[in-house]
Amino acid sequence: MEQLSFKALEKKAFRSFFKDGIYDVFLGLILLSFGLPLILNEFGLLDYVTIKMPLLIPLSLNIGALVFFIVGKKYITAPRLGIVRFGKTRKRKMMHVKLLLAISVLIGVITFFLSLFKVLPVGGKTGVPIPIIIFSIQVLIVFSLAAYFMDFTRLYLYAFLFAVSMPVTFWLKKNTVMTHPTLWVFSLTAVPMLIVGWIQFVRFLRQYPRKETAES
Amino acid sequence: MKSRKRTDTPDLSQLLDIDRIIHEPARLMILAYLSVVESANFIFLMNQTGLTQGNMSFHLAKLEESGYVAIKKQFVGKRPHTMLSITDKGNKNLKEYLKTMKGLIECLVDLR
Repeated sequence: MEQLSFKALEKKAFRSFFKDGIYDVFLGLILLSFGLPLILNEFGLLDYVTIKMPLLIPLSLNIGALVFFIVGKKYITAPRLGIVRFGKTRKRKMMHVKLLLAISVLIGVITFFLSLFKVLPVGGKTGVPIPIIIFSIQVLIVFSLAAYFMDFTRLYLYAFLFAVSMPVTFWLKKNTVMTHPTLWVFSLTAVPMLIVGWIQFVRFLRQYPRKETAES
Repeated sequence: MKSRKRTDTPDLSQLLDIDRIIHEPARLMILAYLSVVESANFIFLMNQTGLTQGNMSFHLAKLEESGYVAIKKQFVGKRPHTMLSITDKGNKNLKEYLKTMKGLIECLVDLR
């Protein structure tokens, strides 16, 4: 019982860092970066700009998300919530998360090159390219494991949203006459993440005003 | 703590030996949080415990005086921060306190 309650206390302390909504906004922007070039393409907007735009849009969104994450955690969360160094168990768990993300990136790169050299078949009857299926499965597994190690419950839902967004878009394009399927799919996956993150962020700012202590 | 069979007369005099530094709720809370992390700063502890700045300072001073908490300047990234951590003595006494309290509570429950 003693061990259990201390474990719960550590978990509560660690989870308090997800109250700021920064992870939610970060992940929402990353997911949006996958969909935005496709959405613009659906509306014919990419035809009017240079060929480099489909690469520049996700890249700039990813950089923006990363900057928001780093700056937000450093200059908004830390002064309000405080600074803490967690114990060995938590550090080990976070090391698992880092390892998982590294494996995920590696699988992504391998899948990309295999599809580039046409080693992987493009797609079957469903209209969903094989690399997209591989990407979705690995994202679902990696994000779910990360959610487990980080005790971050919302991440399970985000893992699902990340995993379904691309395959559903391709499936809808091939099998339905729906207009702008990408817009619909990403409005139902990335946008809720951004809304949840923003609400959490505003709540966090109200709940934790910047404290002036002798130290600061 | 003396070993005692449950059927024996409970020795409530052990209550007098309770560590009074730890027995104070605010200090117990601070020590409990510090025991599950490596180190934390003042603001983090204030947020987690819900104590006011004045209360925190007062209890931290007591804990530092007793040698249960260490206050150090540490670099987090490139910036120095005043970080608080539980000492070995603090950890040992907290465990001892919890063990004693658990025993006493069990003993009191048996009495009813």
